[in-house]
Amino acid sequence: MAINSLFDITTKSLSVYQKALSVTSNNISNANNPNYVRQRVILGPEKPDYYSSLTIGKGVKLEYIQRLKNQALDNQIVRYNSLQSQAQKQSTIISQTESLLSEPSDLGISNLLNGFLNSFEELSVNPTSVPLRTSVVQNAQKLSVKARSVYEGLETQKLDIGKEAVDIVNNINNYLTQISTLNKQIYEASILGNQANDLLDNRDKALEELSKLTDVTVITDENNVANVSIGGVYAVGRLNKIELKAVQENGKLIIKTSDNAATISLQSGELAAMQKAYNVNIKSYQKQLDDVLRNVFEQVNELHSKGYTTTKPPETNVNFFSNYENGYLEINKDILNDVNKIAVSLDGTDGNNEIAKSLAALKTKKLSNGLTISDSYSNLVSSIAYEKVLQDQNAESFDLVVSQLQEQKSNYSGVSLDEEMTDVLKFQRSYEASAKLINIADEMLQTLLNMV
Amino acid sequence: MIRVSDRNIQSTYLNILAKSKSDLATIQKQLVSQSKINKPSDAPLGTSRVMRMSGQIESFNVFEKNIDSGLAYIDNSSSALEGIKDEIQKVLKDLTDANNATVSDNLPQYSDKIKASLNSILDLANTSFDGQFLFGGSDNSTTPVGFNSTGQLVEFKSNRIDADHKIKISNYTEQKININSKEVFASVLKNTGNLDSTSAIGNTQTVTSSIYNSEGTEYSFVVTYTKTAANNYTMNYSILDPSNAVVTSGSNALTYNNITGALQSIDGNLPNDIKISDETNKINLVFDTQSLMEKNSPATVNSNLSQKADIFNVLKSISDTLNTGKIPEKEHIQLVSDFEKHLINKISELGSYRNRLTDTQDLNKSQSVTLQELVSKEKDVDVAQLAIELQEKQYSLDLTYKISSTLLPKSLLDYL
Repeated sequence: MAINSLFDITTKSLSVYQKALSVTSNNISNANNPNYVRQRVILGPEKPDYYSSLTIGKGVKLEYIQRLKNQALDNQIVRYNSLQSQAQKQSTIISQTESLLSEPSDLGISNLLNGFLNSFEELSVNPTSVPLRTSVVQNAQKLSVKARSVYEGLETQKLDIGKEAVDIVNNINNYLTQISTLNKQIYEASILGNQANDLLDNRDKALEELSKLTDVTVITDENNVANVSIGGVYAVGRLNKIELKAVQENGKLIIKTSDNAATISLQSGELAAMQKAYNVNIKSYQKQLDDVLRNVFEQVNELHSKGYTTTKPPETNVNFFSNYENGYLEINKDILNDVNKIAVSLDGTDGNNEIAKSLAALKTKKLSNGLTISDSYSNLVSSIAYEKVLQDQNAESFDLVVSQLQEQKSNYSGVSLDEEMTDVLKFQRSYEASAKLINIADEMLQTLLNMV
Repeated sequence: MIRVSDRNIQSTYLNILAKSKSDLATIQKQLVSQSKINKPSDAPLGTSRVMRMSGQIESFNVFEKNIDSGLAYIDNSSSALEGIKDEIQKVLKDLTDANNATVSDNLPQYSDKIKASLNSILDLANTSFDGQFLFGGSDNSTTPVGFNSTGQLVEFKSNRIDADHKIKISNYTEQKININSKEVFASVLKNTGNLDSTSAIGNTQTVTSSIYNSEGTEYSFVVTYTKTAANNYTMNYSILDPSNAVVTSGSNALTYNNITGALQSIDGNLPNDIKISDETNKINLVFDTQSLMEKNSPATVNSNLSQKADIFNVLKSISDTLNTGKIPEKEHIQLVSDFEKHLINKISELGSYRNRLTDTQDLNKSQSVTLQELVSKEKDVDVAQLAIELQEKQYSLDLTYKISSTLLPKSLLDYL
């Protein structure tokens, strides 16, 4: 064995620890990068020299740089991210719906409906009183305006969701393009036997973001290519990629491939939440509100049309509401122009209050569904409230799961500065020792030269 | 041993901080709004309860207003009836004085006095309150009583002098608040019982009753119900004077409801009293056949006369008699005394209406207070408790900040 081999071993060693230090410093630099997966240098012995029965080591070599990642954990994060985002988005949407109702307050439909029917109760005391008749009209107007604003608010919410869905689908398409590009680059590196750790970090980040938006399944092949499907439909791999689009058809929000080849059924993610809100929740709330208001329209008109006005001569068959459509209780214009057209007399005499009392009794009258009008409205408010509570709880519980998974991921893949600084010291000392060896080898060579 | 990364310490710290801030924000919101329920999802069940109970409280507020209006109506009615009672007592005193008058030439003066009392009573009978005639039933557009075109007979002018004015004073209670002209002033002949729905067409049922003119003279009122078709009858009535001569007559078509058996219409209109006036014979009668039913049982028709004659025409005829220099007969004066008793009964009836209103008012108030307490329990915050919780949360948040400021940046780096 020549002295030169000492130079070889120490030179390699210097180079290995320099590289090890650069990996460590990369870790330290990314300590606060949430998408970064820590890397670790794996050192191994160089192939030794064999001399008859002796085996002499040839120093250290850098085997590879390990990316400390737990794929099962990542898959779980993707799944629960999707569920958490869906619950969170649904909660946000319902929160907007909830605010439209202004309940429980004086400005809600519940109070305004009671106010309207109570004004008939007050009118029954003095059916000819013009101020009390005016009060009936004013209360009816307040109810009509609020009911219309809630119904239209729900309609506007649907339109906004439709527009936002288009933006989200554009985001999804962007992520699919990004993943497709990264897949190609990762594949090329893998074929050349290289580890594309940073590209993998970037793709993981894109997948995590994508999973918040939609229902994603990821299968990674032996070349680290991620094959992604959305709602069971293949979305992106190495060679192919699809594009999605959001369309509003027949009152429904539908997600399709841009070539219309497939309709995508989503189970989780923000887009699924929006689809559910658009196609199911808001529609159901509108239907319930519509039923309540239609009952007000029909029940009030049925009784009112049997009554007589206080005009001269008294008129009958006068509807209180001239029309009802899409949340709009339209008050009879004749009544708005002349409050004497309010018909609360059963026999045509102006002091008769039988119809007024019957109208006021609508507060407690049970309809064909066994509920009062107020009960039906209360059910609508409750169903919105319970859905909000459910989605808040879901969001909180999924958030807890995601946090714990992220914690585990962070514990496994995150950078610990203590560890890294220990590694820095370790590698620095090894580097210094290697440098010292060169001095020793130099001195040995010098000794030999002096002997010549 | 669990490996802990620096990022993990940061995210754990941020999660705890976010939770602390969220709890703090919730308490602050409740304190500022003074309400535990600011939106339905804060307490879905509580919201339903609050909405239902607020509706009930609102109803109690309306009942409170109704009762106040009802009490005012009753008080005004009582005042008017008391005024009439005073006039009647004055008339009775005048009649006693007139009876003792030594010179018959003075009698026209008493006639004038009684005429003045009659006009006062007419004014009081036509009293209106808040746009409603107190004794006008449900007709607020026509003065309840007044002289006919010749000025010789007082007639009931209102279309529905029989209507009760009932208002709702609690969830399940309605209370009558008026005394109508039919009850207090009119002479009402009422037919009750039933006609036989199984009787053959052409079958008749006749009832004869005694009625009186304003001088107390007895007349006969004969009414015959003749079946003309299923559920349909012709009602012929005639008034016969003491010599059995017909002084007035009339005919009406009655239709009964084939299910309930109640009177459905008279001459195609909603059932109403039939007002019969005969100026010559000084008769002003209200004939009420609305309670007569049609049933599947043998016909039984009963008659009942509320009072012999209405007070207005009694006073008018007394005044006329005095004006001619004659002293009214005892029977004639008795009609006034009878009316006074009748009037006192009606005044006490109003008193019982008033008591029912005030009793219900007390009950409503207590129920409303109970409901308000329940709403308060559901909705209102306990400020003292929240203030303590707020302090605790604030302290916990400060502690989190303090600890984080000392621990977060620490690593081996700090000691190298």
